[in-house]
Amino acid sequence: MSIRNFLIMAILALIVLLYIFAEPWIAMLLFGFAVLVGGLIWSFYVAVRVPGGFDEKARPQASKDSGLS
Amino acid sequence: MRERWDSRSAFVLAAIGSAIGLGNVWRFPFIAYQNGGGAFLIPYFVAMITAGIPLLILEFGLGHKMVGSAPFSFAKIGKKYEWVGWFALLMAFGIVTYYAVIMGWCFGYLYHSFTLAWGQDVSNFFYQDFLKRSSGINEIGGINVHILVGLALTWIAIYFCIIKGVKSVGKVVLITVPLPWLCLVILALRGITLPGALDGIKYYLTPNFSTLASPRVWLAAYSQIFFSLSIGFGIMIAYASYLPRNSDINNNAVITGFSNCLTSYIAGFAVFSSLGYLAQMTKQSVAEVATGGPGLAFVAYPTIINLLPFGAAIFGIIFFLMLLTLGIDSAFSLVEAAVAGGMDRWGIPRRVTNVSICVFGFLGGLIYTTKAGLYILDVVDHFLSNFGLVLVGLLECILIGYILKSKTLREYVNSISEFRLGKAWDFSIKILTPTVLIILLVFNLIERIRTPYGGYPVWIGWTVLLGFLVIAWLIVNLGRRDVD
Repeated sequence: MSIRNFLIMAILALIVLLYIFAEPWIAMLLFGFAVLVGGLIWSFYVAVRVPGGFDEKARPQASKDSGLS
Repeated sequence: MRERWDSRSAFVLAAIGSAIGLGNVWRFPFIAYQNGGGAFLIPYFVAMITAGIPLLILEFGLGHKMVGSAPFSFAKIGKKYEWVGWFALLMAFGIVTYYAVIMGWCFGYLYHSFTLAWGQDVSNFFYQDFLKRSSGINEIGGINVHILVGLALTWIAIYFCIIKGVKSVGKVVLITVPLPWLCLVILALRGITLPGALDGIKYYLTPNFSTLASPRVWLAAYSQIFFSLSIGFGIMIAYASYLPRNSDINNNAVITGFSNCLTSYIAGFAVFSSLGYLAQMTKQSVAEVATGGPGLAFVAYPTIINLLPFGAAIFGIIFFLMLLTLGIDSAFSLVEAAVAGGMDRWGIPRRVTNVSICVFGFLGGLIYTTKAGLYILDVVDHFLSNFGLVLVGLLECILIGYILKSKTLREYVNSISEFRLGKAWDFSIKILTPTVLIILLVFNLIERIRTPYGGYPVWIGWTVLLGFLVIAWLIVNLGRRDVD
Protein backbone atom coordinates (compact mmCIF):
# COMPACT_ATOMS: atom_id res chain seq x y z
CA MET A 1 0.00 0.00 0.00
CA SER A 2 1.36 3.43 -0.97
CA ILE A 3 1.76 6.17 1.62
CA ARG A 4 -1.03 8.14 -0.06
CA ASN A 5 -3.50 5.25 0.14
CA PHE A 6 -2.47 4.53 3.72
CA LEU A 7 -3.12 8.15 4.71
CA ILE A 8 -6.52 8.16 3.01
CA MET A 9 -7.54 4.94 4.79
CA ALA A 10 -6.25 6.24 8.14
CA ILE A 11 -8.19 9.50 7.83
CA LEU A 12 -11.35 7.63 6.79
CA ALA A 13 -11.01 5.34 9.78
CA LEU A 14 -10.49 8.32 12.07
CA ILE A 15 -13.61 10.01 10.71
CA VAL A 16 -15.69 6.87 11.34
CA LEU A 17 -14.26 6.49 14.84
CA LEU A 18 -14.93 10.13 15.66
CA TYR A 19 -18.46 9.78 14.35
CA ILE A 20 -19.15 6.74 16.52
CA PHE A 21 -17.23 7.50 19.69
CA ALA A 22 -16.95 11.30 19.77
CA GLU A 23 -19.47 13.69 18.23
CA PRO A 24 -20.72 13.60 14.63
CA TRP A 25 -19.93 17.29 14.06
CA ILE A 26 -16.26 16.68 14.88
CA ALA A 27 -16.18 13.87 12.31
CA MET A 28 -17.73 16.20 9.70
CA LEU A 29 -15.24 18.92 10.59
CA LEU A 30 -12.38 16.54 9.84
CA PHE A 31 -14.15 15.23 6.73
CA GLY A 32 -14.47 18.75 5.30
CA PHE A 33 -10.84 19.66 5.87
CA ALA A 34 -9.60 16.24 4.70
CA VAL A 35 -11.38 16.50 1.35
CA LEU A 36 -10.58 20.15 0.67
CA VAL A 37 -7.01 20.32 1.93
CA GLY A 38 -6.31 16.83 0.55
CA GLY A 39 -7.61 17.87 -2.88
CA LEU A 40 -5.43 20.97 -2.90
CA ILE A 41 -2.32 19.08 -1.80
CA TRP A 42 -2.93 16.52 -4.56
CA SER A 43 -3.36 19.20 -7.24
CA PHE A 44 -0.19 21.05 -6.21
CA TYR A 45 1.70 17.74 -6.08
CA VAL A 46 0.58 16.99 -9.64
CA ALA A 47 1.68 20.48 -10.71
CA VAL A 48 5.15 20.46 -9.19
CA ARG A 49 6.14 16.98 -10.34
CA VAL A 50 6.12 18.14 -13.99
CA PRO A 51 9.63 19.07 -15.21
CA GLY A 52 10.10 22.78 -14.57
CA GLY A 53 7.73 22.81 -11.59
CA PHE A 54 4.61 24.88 -11.01
CA ASP A 55 5.46 27.86 -13.19
CA GLU A 56 4.95 26.96 -16.83
CA LYS A 57 7.48 29.54 -17.97
CA ALA A 58 10.23 27.30 -16.63
CA ARG A 59 8.91 24.33 -18.58
CA PRO A 60 9.82 23.14 -22.05
CA GLN A 61 7.27 23.97 -24.77
CA ALA A 62 4.31 21.59 -24.87
CA SER A 63 5.24 18.70 -27.09
CA LYS A 64 5.56 14.96 -26.87
CA ASP A 65 8.77 15.20 -24.88
CA SER A 66 7.66 18.06 -22.62
CA GLY A 67 6.74 15.93 -19.67
CA LEU A 68 3.14 17.08 -19.95
CA SER A 69 0.55 14.39 -20.46
CA MET B 1 -0.53 40.69 -29.91
CA ARG B 2 -2.82 39.37 -27.17
CA GLU B 3 -1.98 40.18 -23.55
CA ARG B 4 -0.46 37.36 -21.48
CA TRP B 5 -0.46 36.55 -17.77
CA ASP B 6 2.91 37.18 -16.14
CA SER B 7 2.92 33.75 -14.52
CA ARG B 8 0.75 30.75 -13.81
CA SER B 9 0.32 31.96 -10.21
CA ALA B 10 -1.14 35.23 -11.48
CA PHE B 11 -3.75 33.37 -13.54
CA VAL B 12 -4.62 30.92 -10.76
CA LEU B 13 -4.92 33.70 -8.18
CA ALA B 14 -7.07 35.78 -10.54
CA ALA B 15 -9.38 32.81 -11.21
CA ILE B 16 -9.60 32.07 -7.47
CA GLY B 17 -10.20 35.75 -6.74
CA SER B 18 -13.00 35.84 -9.26
CA ALA B 19 -14.63 32.71 -7.86
CA ILE B 20 -14.34 33.78 -4.24
CA GLY B 21 -16.71 36.59 -3.42
CA LEU B 22 -19.24 37.83 -0.93
CA GLY B 23 -21.36 34.70 -1.45
CA ASN B 24 -18.65 32.52 0.08
CA VAL B 25 -19.11 34.37 3.36
CA TRP B 26 -22.78 35.17 3.45
CA ARG B 27 -24.35 32.43 1.34
CA PHE B 28 -22.53 29.11 1.75
CA PRO B 29 -22.59 28.82 5.58
CA PHE B 30 -26.29 29.59 5.69
CA ILE B 31 -27.15 27.21 2.83
CA ALA B 32 -25.13 24.46 4.52
CA TYR B 33 -26.89 25.04 7.82
CA GLN B 34 -30.33 25.01 6.13
CA ASN B 35 -29.63 21.82 4.17
CA GLY B 36 -28.43 19.25 6.65
CA GLY B 37 -25.42 20.93 8.32
CA GLY B 38 -22.35 18.72 8.05
CA ALA B 39 -24.26 16.25 5.86
CA PHE B 40 -24.53 19.01 3.22
CA LEU B 41 -20.79 18.65 2.65
CA ILE B 42 -21.43 15.34 0.86
CA PRO B 43 -23.69 16.69 -1.94
CA TYR B 44 -21.58 19.85 -2.00
CA PHE B 45 -18.37 17.95 -2.70
CA VAL B 46 -20.14 15.68 -5.19
CA ALA B 47 -21.45 18.77 -6.99
CA MET B 48 -17.99 20.34 -6.99
CA ILE B 49 -16.37 17.28 -8.54
CA THR B 50 -19.13 16.29 -10.97
CA ALA B 51 -20.27 19.74 -12.17
CA GLY B 52 -18.23 22.65 -10.75
CA ILE B 53 -14.76 21.58 -11.81
CA PRO B 54 -15.95 20.12 -15.17
CA LEU B 55 -17.62 23.45 -15.99
CA LEU B 56 -14.48 25.35 -14.99
CA ILE B 57 -12.47 23.08 -17.30
CA LEU B 58 -15.01 23.76 -20.04
CA GLU B 59 -14.65 27.54 -19.72
CA PHE B 60 -10.86 27.48 -19.29
CA GLY B 61 -10.51 25.06 -22.21
CA LEU B 62 -12.81 27.04 -24.51
CA GLY B 63 -11.07 30.37 -23.83
CA HIS B 64 -7.64 28.82 -24.25
CA LYS B 65 -8.51 26.95 -27.44
CA MET B 66 -10.32 29.85 -29.13
CA VAL B 67 -8.02 32.59 -27.74
CA GLY B 68 -10.86 35.00 -27.29
CA SER B 69 -13.58 36.39 -25.05
CA ALA B 70 -16.91 34.56 -24.64
CA PRO B 71 -18.68 35.99 -27.73
CA PHE B 72 -15.57 35.48 -29.86
CA SER B 73 -15.19 31.89 -28.63
CA PHE B 74 -18.83 31.00 -29.23
CA ALA B 75 -18.70 32.66 -32.65
CA LYS B 76 -15.83 30.33 -33.52
CA ILE B 77 -18.07 27.35 -32.77
CA GLY B 78 -20.66 28.87 -35.10
CA LYS B 79 -21.48 32.48 -35.90
CA LYS B 80 -25.11 31.96 -34.95
CA TYR B 81 -24.03 31.16 -31.36
CA GLU B 82 -22.18 34.43 -30.76
CA TRP B 83 -25.22 35.88 -28.99
CA VAL B 84 -24.76 33.34 -26.16
CA GLY B 85 -21.40 34.95 -25.37
CA TRP B 86 -22.89 38.42 -25.45
CA PHE B 87 -25.76 37.31 -23.26
CA ALA B 88 -23.20 35.97 -20.75
CA LEU B 89 -21.27 39.26 -20.82
CA LEU B 90 -24.45 41.29 -20.39
CA MET B 91 -25.28 39.15 -17.35
CA ALA B 92 -21.81 39.92 -16.00
CA PHE B 93 -22.30 43.61 -16.66
CA GLY B 94 -25.79 43.59 -15.15
CA ILE B 95 -24.53 41.87 -12.02
CA VAL B 96 -21.51 44.12 -11.56
CA THR B 97 -23.72 47.21 -11.63
CA TYR B 98 -25.34 46.18 -8.33
CA TYR B 99 -22.35 44.21 -6.98
CA ALA B 100 -20.43 47.51 -7.06
CA VAL B 101 -23.21 49.12 -5.02
CA ILE B 102 -22.91 46.41 -2.34
CA MET B 103 -19.19 47.12 -2.30
CA GLY B 104 -20.09 50.78 -1.92
CA TRP B 105 -22.04 49.79 1.21
CA CYS B 106 -18.90 48.00 2.42
CA PHE B 107 -16.88 51.19 1.91
CA GLY B 108 -19.49 53.02 3.98
CA TYR B 109 -19.42 50.41 6.73
CA LEU B 110 -15.62 50.33 6.72
CA TYR B 111 -15.73 54.05 7.46
CA HIS B 112 -18.40 53.60 10.14
CA SER B 113 -16.37 50.79 11.75
CA PHE B 114 -13.88 53.30 13.14
CA THR B 115 -16.55 54.80 15.40
CA LEU B 116 -19.02 51.87 15.47
CA ALA B 117 -21.50 54.39 14.13
CA TRP B 118 -24.28 51.81 13.78
CA GLY B 119 -24.93 52.05 17.52
CA GLN B 120 -27.12 49.58 19.40
CA ASP B 121 -30.06 49.43 16.99
CA VAL B 122 -28.04 47.97 14.10
CA SER B 123 -31.01 46.93 11.97
CA ASN B 124 -32.55 50.39 12.13
CA PHE B 125 -29.19 51.95 11.27
CA PHE B 126 -28.78 49.79 8.15
CA TYR B 127 -32.27 50.03 6.72
CA GLN B 128 -33.33 53.51 7.85
CA ASP B 129 -30.21 55.61 8.44
CA PHE B 130 -27.83 54.06 5.90
CA LEU B 131 -30.08 52.82 3.05
CA LYS B 132 -32.93 55.22 3.92
CA ARG B 133 -35.15 52.46 2.56
CA SER B 134 -38.45 53.62 1.07
CA SER B 135 -41.79 51.98 1.79
CA GLY B 136 -41.71 49.88 -1.39
CA ILE B 137 -40.26 49.35 -4.83
CA ASN B 138 -42.68 51.86 -6.37
CA GLU B 139 -41.36 54.70 -4.23
CA ILE B 140 -37.93 55.28 -5.75
CA GLY B 141 -37.01 58.33 -3.64
CA GLY B 142 -33.80 60.24 -4.24
CA ILE B 143 -30.22 59.08 -4.52
CA ASN B 144 -28.34 58.44 -1.26
CA VAL B 145 -25.25 60.59 -1.64
CA HIS B 146 -23.09 58.55 0.76
CA ILE B 147 -23.87 55.36 -1.21
CA LEU B 148 -23.14 57.23 -4.43
CA VAL B 149 -19.71 58.12 -3.04
CA GLY B 150 -19.11 54.46 -2.16
CA LEU B 151 -20.18 53.43 -5.66
CA ALA B 152 -17.81 55.97 -7.22
CA LEU B 153 -14.93 54.72 -5.06
CA THR B 154 -15.68 51.14 -6.12
CA TRP B 155 -15.63 51.99 -9.81
CA ILE B 156 -12.43 54.00 -9.44
CA ALA B 157 -10.87 50.95 -7.73
CA ILE B 158 -12.13 48.64 -10.49
CA TYR B 159 -10.78 50.97 -13.17
CA PHE B 160 -7.30 51.01 -11.66
CA CYS B 161 -7.30 47.23 -11.13
CA ILE B 162 -7.90 46.56 -14.83
CA ILE B 163 -6.05 49.59 -16.18
CA LYS B 164 -3.40 47.49 -17.89
CA GLY B 165 -5.48 44.37 -18.33
CA VAL B 166 -4.06 41.10 -17.08
CA LYS B 167 -0.73 42.79 -16.31
CA SER B 168 -2.29 44.94 -13.59
CA VAL B 169 -4.82 42.27 -12.58
CA GLY B 170 -1.95 39.82 -12.03
CA LYS B 171 -0.34 42.27 -9.59
CA VAL B 172 -3.54 43.30 -7.80
CA VAL B 173 -4.54 39.71 -7.03
CA LEU B 174 -1.27 39.19 -5.18
CA ILE B 175 -2.88 41.38 -2.49
CA THR B 176 -6.64 40.96 -2.96
CA VAL B 177 -6.61 37.16 -2.76
CA PRO B 178 -4.33 36.49 0.26
CA LEU B 179 -5.58 39.51 2.25
CA PRO B 180 -9.21 38.35 2.66
CA TRP B 181 -7.92 34.85 3.50
CA LEU B 182 -5.80 36.39 6.25
CA CYS B 183 -8.78 38.42 7.50
CA LEU B 184 -10.99 35.33 7.37
CA VAL B 185 -8.52 33.28 9.40
CA ILE B 186 -8.21 36.11 11.97
CA LEU B 187 -12.00 36.35 12.25
CA ALA B 188 -12.38 32.55 12.46
CA LEU B 189 -9.74 32.36 15.21
CA ARG B 190 -11.33 35.26 17.08
CA GLY B 191 -14.75 33.68 16.61
CA ILE B 192 -13.90 30.27 17.99
CA THR B 193 -12.37 31.79 21.13
CA LEU B 194 -15.63 33.56 22.01
CA PRO B 195 -18.05 32.08 24.55
CA GLY B 196 -20.87 30.18 22.84
CA ALA B 197 -18.82 29.71 19.66
CA LEU B 198 -18.92 25.93 19.97
CA ASP B 199 -22.72 25.95 19.93
CA GLY B 200 -22.63 27.89 16.69
CA ILE B 201 -20.13 25.52 15.08
CA LYS B 202 -22.21 22.54 16.21
CA TYR B 203 -25.20 24.09 14.47
CA TYR B 204 -23.11 24.53 11.35
CA LEU B 205 -21.63 21.04 11.23
CA THR B 206 -23.92 18.59 13.05
CA PRO B 207 -25.02 16.27 10.23
CA ASN B 208 -28.61 15.42 9.50
CA PHE B 209 -28.15 12.58 7.03
CA SER B 210 -31.90 12.15 6.43
CA THR B 211 -31.75 15.35 4.34
CA LEU B 212 -29.61 13.56 1.75
CA ALA B 213 -32.75 11.78 0.55
CA SER B 214 -34.27 15.13 -0.39
CA PRO B 215 -33.73 16.26 -4.02
CA ARG B 216 -33.98 19.88 -2.80
CA VAL B 217 -30.75 19.46 -0.83
CA TRP B 218 -28.89 18.14 -3.87
CA LEU B 219 -30.31 20.94 -5.96
CA ALA B 220 -29.15 23.44 -3.34
CA ALA B 221 -25.64 21.94 -3.46
CA TYR B 222 -25.44 22.09 -7.27
CA SER B 223 -26.80 25.63 -7.40
CA GLN B 224 -24.41 26.78 -4.65
CA ILE B 225 -21.47 25.35 -6.60
CA PHE B 226 -22.74 26.82 -9.86
CA PHE B 227 -23.25 30.33 -8.44
CA SER B 228 -20.02 30.45 -6.46
CA LEU B 229 -17.50 29.53 -9.17
CA SER B 230 -18.10 32.54 -11.47
CA ILE B 231 -19.33 30.21 -14.21
CA GLY B 232 -21.61 31.51 -16.94
CA PHE B 233 -20.30 35.09 -17.05
CA GLY B 234 -17.59 34.52 -19.63
CA ILE B 235 -14.97 35.52 -17.02
CA MET B 236 -13.08 32.25 -17.02
CA ILE B 237 -13.21 32.12 -20.84
CA ALA B 238 -11.63 35.59 -21.06
CA TYR B 239 -9.04 34.88 -18.34
CA ALA B 240 -7.97 31.59 -19.98
CA SER B 241 -7.64 33.31 -23.35
CA TYR B 242 -4.68 35.24 -21.92
CA LEU B 243 -2.80 32.03 -20.98
CA PRO B 244 0.32 30.99 -22.90
CA ARG B 245 -0.16 28.08 -25.32
CA ASN B 246 1.55 25.45 -23.15
CA SER B 247 -0.54 26.19 -20.06
CA ASP B 248 -2.25 23.56 -17.99
CA ILE B 249 -6.05 23.68 -17.95
CA ASN B 250 -7.36 20.75 -15.91
CA ASN B 251 -5.24 21.16 -12.82
CA ASN B 252 -5.78 24.93 -12.71
CA ALA B 253 -9.51 24.23 -12.62
CA VAL B 254 -9.05 21.78 -9.74
CA ILE B 255 -6.95 24.30 -7.76
CA THR B 256 -9.54 27.04 -8.37
CA GLY B 257 -12.49 24.82 -7.43
CA PHE B 258 -10.95 23.44 -4.24
CA SER B 259 -9.65 26.86 -3.10
CA ASN B 260 -13.10 28.35 -3.56
CA CYS B 261 -14.78 25.60 -1.55
CA LEU B 262 -12.14 25.70 1.19
CA THR B 263 -12.73 29.44 1.58
CA SER B 264 -16.48 28.88 1.91
CA TYR B 265 -15.91 26.13 4.44
CA ILE B 266 -13.60 28.27 6.61
CA ALA B 267 -15.98 31.22 6.30
CA GLY B 268 -18.59 28.98 7.92
CA PHE B 269 -16.44 28.79 11.06
CA ALA B 270 -16.01 32.57 11.21
CA VAL B 271 -19.73 33.13 10.72
CA PHE B 272 -21.20 30.40 12.93
CA SER B 273 -18.78 30.82 15.81
CA SER B 274 -19.76 34.50 15.90
CA LEU B 275 -23.46 33.65 15.61
CA GLY B 276 -23.04 31.23 18.52
CA TYR B 277 -21.58 34.10 20.54
CA LEU B 278 -24.44 36.39 19.48
CA ALA B 279 -26.98 33.73 20.50
CA GLN B 280 -25.43 33.35 23.93
CA MET B 281 -25.14 37.08 24.56
CA THR B 282 -28.73 37.76 23.49
CA LYS B 283 -30.06 34.60 25.18
CA GLN B 284 -31.56 33.23 21.97
CA SER B 285 -30.97 29.99 20.08
CA VAL B 286 -28.50 29.91 17.18
CA ALA B 287 -31.43 29.13 14.87
CA GLU B 288 -33.04 32.42 15.85
CA VAL B 289 -29.99 34.54 15.06
CA ALA B 290 -28.75 32.58 12.02
CA THR B 291 -29.11 34.59 8.86
CA GLY B 292 -27.48 34.94 5.46
CA GLY B 293 -27.10 37.61 2.78
CA PRO B 294 -26.79 41.33 3.49
CA GLY B 295 -28.62 40.77 6.79
CA LEU B 296 -25.60 38.81 8.02
CA ALA B 297 -22.98 41.30 6.85
CA PHE B 298 -24.68 44.56 7.73
CA VAL B 299 -26.91 43.66 10.68
CA ALA B 300 -25.85 40.44 12.44
CA TYR B 301 -22.10 40.97 12.17
CA PRO B 302 -22.09 44.61 13.35
CA THR B 303 -24.26 43.45 16.29
CA ILE B 304 -21.62 40.82 17.10
CA ILE B 305 -18.88 43.46 16.79
CA ASN B 306 -20.77 45.63 19.31
CA LEU B 307 -20.74 42.76 21.79
CA LEU B 308 -17.03 41.99 21.53
CA PRO B 309 -15.24 42.44 24.85
CA PHE B 310 -12.33 44.36 23.30
CA GLY B 311 -11.02 45.60 19.93
CA ALA B 312 -14.53 45.95 18.47
CA ALA B 313 -13.52 48.67 15.99
CA ILE B 314 -10.49 46.67 14.84
CA PHE B 315 -12.58 43.58 14.12
CA GLY B 316 -15.16 45.75 12.36
CA ILE B 317 -12.43 47.14 10.13
CA ILE B 318 -11.03 43.65 9.46
CA PHE B 319 -14.49 42.31 8.59
CA PHE B 320 -15.42 45.04 6.12
CA LEU B 321 -11.92 45.12 4.67
CA MET B 322 -12.32 41.38 4.09
CA LEU B 323 -15.66 41.91 2.31
CA LEU B 324 -14.15 44.67 0.17
CA THR B 325 -11.13 42.65 -0.88
CA LEU B 326 -13.27 39.55 -1.42
CA GLY B 327 -15.58 41.54 -3.63
CA ILE B 328 -13.15 43.64 -5.62
CA ASP B 329 -11.57 40.82 -7.60
CA SER B 330 -14.97 39.32 -8.42
CA ALA B 331 -16.13 42.79 -9.52
CA PHE B 332 -13.18 43.56 -11.75
CA SER B 333 -13.25 40.07 -13.26
CA LEU B 334 -16.86 40.72 -14.30
CA VAL B 335 -15.75 43.99 -15.88
CA GLU B 336 -12.68 42.42 -17.50
CA ALA B 337 -14.89 39.80 -19.19
CA ALA B 338 -16.95 42.61 -20.73
CA VAL B 339 -13.84 44.62 -21.66
CA ALA B 340 -12.32 41.59 -23.42
CA GLY B 341 -15.58 41.15 -25.35
CA GLY B 342 -15.58 44.80 -26.45
CA MET B 343 -11.93 44.70 -27.50
CA ASP B 344 -12.36 41.47 -29.47
CA ARG B 345 -15.58 42.64 -31.11
CA TRP B 346 -14.76 46.16 -32.20
CA GLY B 347 -10.99 46.25 -31.82
CA ILE B 348 -11.24 49.29 -29.53
CA PRO B 349 -8.09 50.05 -27.49
CA ARG B 350 -8.14 48.82 -23.89
CA ARG B 351 -8.01 52.31 -22.38
CA VAL B 352 -11.15 53.43 -24.20
CA THR B 353 -13.00 50.17 -23.47
CA ASN B 354 -12.05 50.33 -19.77
CA VAL B 355 -13.28 53.91 -19.37
CA SER B 356 -16.49 53.29 -21.33
CA ILE B 357 -17.49 50.18 -19.40
CA CYS B 358 -16.61 51.69 -16.01
CA VAL B 359 -18.64 54.83 -16.78
CA PHE B 360 -21.62 52.82 -18.05
CA GLY B 361 -21.32 50.50 -15.05
CA PHE B 362 -21.34 53.46 -12.68
CA LEU B 363 -24.36 54.98 -14.41
CA GLY B 364 -26.13 51.61 -14.41
CA GLY B 365 -25.59 51.35 -10.66
CA LEU B 366 -27.23 54.71 -9.89
CA ILE B 367 -30.69 53.14 -9.65
CA TYR B 368 -29.46 50.95 -6.76
CA THR B 369 -28.26 53.98 -4.79
CA THR B 370 -31.83 55.25 -4.52
CA LYS B 371 -34.05 54.67 -1.52
CA ALA B 372 -35.71 51.76 -3.35
CA GLY B 373 -32.30 50.44 -4.38
CA LEU B 374 -32.40 47.43 -2.07
CA TYR B 375 -35.73 46.23 -3.49
CA ILE B 376 -34.59 46.66 -7.09
CA LEU B 377 -31.27 44.95 -6.34
CA ASP B 378 -33.07 42.04 -4.75
CA VAL B 379 -35.40 41.40 -7.66
CA VAL B 380 -32.79 41.94 -10.42
CA ASP B 381 -30.32 39.66 -8.63
CA HIS B 382 -32.95 36.97 -8.30
CA PHE B 383 -33.82 36.95 -11.99
CA LEU B 384 -30.28 37.29 -13.33
CA SER B 385 -28.93 34.53 -11.09
CA ASN B 386 -31.78 32.07 -11.15
CA PHE B 387 -32.75 32.36 -14.78
CA GLY B 388 -30.11 34.21 -16.80
CA LEU B 389 -27.04 32.55 -15.35
CA VAL B 390 -28.57 29.07 -15.34
CA LEU B 391 -29.65 29.55 -18.96
CA VAL B 392 -26.11 30.55 -20.00
CA GLY B 393 -24.65 27.52 -18.19
CA LEU B 394 -27.13 25.25 -19.92
CA LEU B 395 -26.40 26.73 -23.36
CA GLU B 396 -22.66 26.38 -22.74
CA CYS B 397 -23.07 22.69 -21.97
CA ILE B 398 -25.23 22.10 -25.05
CA LEU B 399 -22.93 24.03 -27.39
CA ILE B 400 -19.75 22.39 -26.15
CA GLY B 401 -21.27 18.98 -25.55
CA TYR B 402 -23.18 18.56 -28.79
CA ILE B 403 -22.12 21.20 -31.33
CA LEU B 404 -18.35 21.53 -30.77
CA LYS B 405 -18.37 17.98 -29.30
CA SER B 406 -17.10 17.55 -25.79
CA LYS B 407 -14.57 14.95 -27.01
CA THR B 408 -12.85 17.62 -29.15
CA LEU B 409 -12.38 19.95 -26.20
CA ARG B 410 -11.43 17.08 -23.88
CA GLU B 411 -8.67 15.92 -26.23
CA TYR B 412 -7.47 19.51 -26.53
CA VAL B 413 -7.22 20.13 -22.78
CA ASN B 414 -5.72 16.69 -22.22
CA SER B 415 -2.94 17.50 -24.70
CA ILE B 416 -1.71 20.40 -22.57
CA SER B 417 -2.73 19.47 -19.02
CA GLU B 418 -0.96 17.83 -16.12
CA PHE B 419 -3.55 15.09 -15.81
CA ARG B 420 -5.98 13.66 -18.31
CA LEU B 421 -9.76 13.70 -18.27
CA GLY B 422 -11.72 10.56 -19.01
CA LYS B 423 -15.10 10.09 -20.66
CA ALA B 424 -16.77 10.94 -17.34
CA TRP B 425 -16.13 14.60 -18.20
CA ASP B 426 -18.16 14.19 -21.40
CA PHE B 427 -20.95 12.65 -19.34
CA SER B 428 -20.89 15.60 -16.96
CA ILE B 429 -21.01 18.19 -19.75
CA LYS B 430 -23.51 16.38 -21.98
CA ILE B 431 -25.88 14.75 -19.49
CA LEU B 432 -25.42 15.43 -15.79
CA THR B 433 -24.89 19.20 -15.61
CA PRO B 434 -27.51 20.08 -18.27
CA THR B 435 -30.03 17.85 -16.47
CA VAL B 436 -29.39 19.57 -13.15
CA LEU B 437 -29.57 23.00 -14.78
CA ILE B 438 -32.83 22.18 -16.59
CA ILE B 439 -34.36 20.98 -13.31
CA LEU B 440 -33.17 24.18 -11.62
CA LEU B 441 -34.62 26.31 -14.41
CA VAL B 442 -37.99 24.53 -14.43
CA PHE B 443 -38.14 24.49 -10.64
CA ASN B 444 -37.47 28.24 -10.45
CA LEU B 445 -39.92 28.96 -13.25
CA ILE B 446 -42.75 27.04 -11.58
CA GLU B 447 -42.05 28.80 -8.31
CA ARG B 448 -42.14 32.22 -9.97
CA ILE B 449 -45.36 31.45 -11.83
CA ARG B 450 -46.97 30.38 -8.57
CA THR B 451 -45.81 33.37 -6.52
CA PRO B 452 -44.20 36.64 -7.62
CA TYR B 453 -40.72 36.94 -6.10
CA GLY B 454 -40.91 38.76 -2.75
CA GLY B 455 -44.24 40.25 -3.75
CA TYR B 456 -42.48 42.50 -6.30
CA PRO B 457 -44.08 43.25 -9.69
CA VAL B 458 -43.04 40.37 -11.96
CA TRP B 459 -42.34 42.52 -15.02
CA ILE B 460 -39.11 44.02 -13.60
CA GLY B 461 -37.02 40.84 -13.62
CA TRP B 462 -38.39 39.51 -16.91
CA THR B 463 -37.88 42.89 -18.59
CA VAL B 464 -34.21 42.96 -17.57
CA LEU B 465 -33.67 39.41 -18.84
CA LEU B 466 -35.49 39.96 -22.14
CA GLY B 467 -33.74 43.32 -22.51
CA PHE B 468 -30.35 41.59 -22.27
CA LEU B 469 -31.41 39.01 -24.86
CA VAL B 470 -32.49 41.77 -27.26
CA ILE B 471 -29.25 43.72 -26.70
CA ALA B 472 -27.21 40.54 -27.31
CA TRP B 473 -29.07 40.03 -30.59
CA LEU B 474 -28.54 43.68 -31.57
CA ILE B 475 -24.79 43.54 -30.87
CA VAL B 476 -24.43 40.44 -33.03
CA ASN B 477 -26.33 42.08 -35.86
CA LEU B 478 -24.51 45.42 -35.74
CA GLY B 479 -21.26 45.78 -37.71
CA ARG B 480 -19.00 42.84 -36.82
CA ARG B 481 -15.30 42.19 -36.66
CA ASP B 482 -14.72 38.88 -38.42
CA VAL B 483 -13.67 36.01 -36.20
CA ASP B 484 -12.43 33.77 -38.96
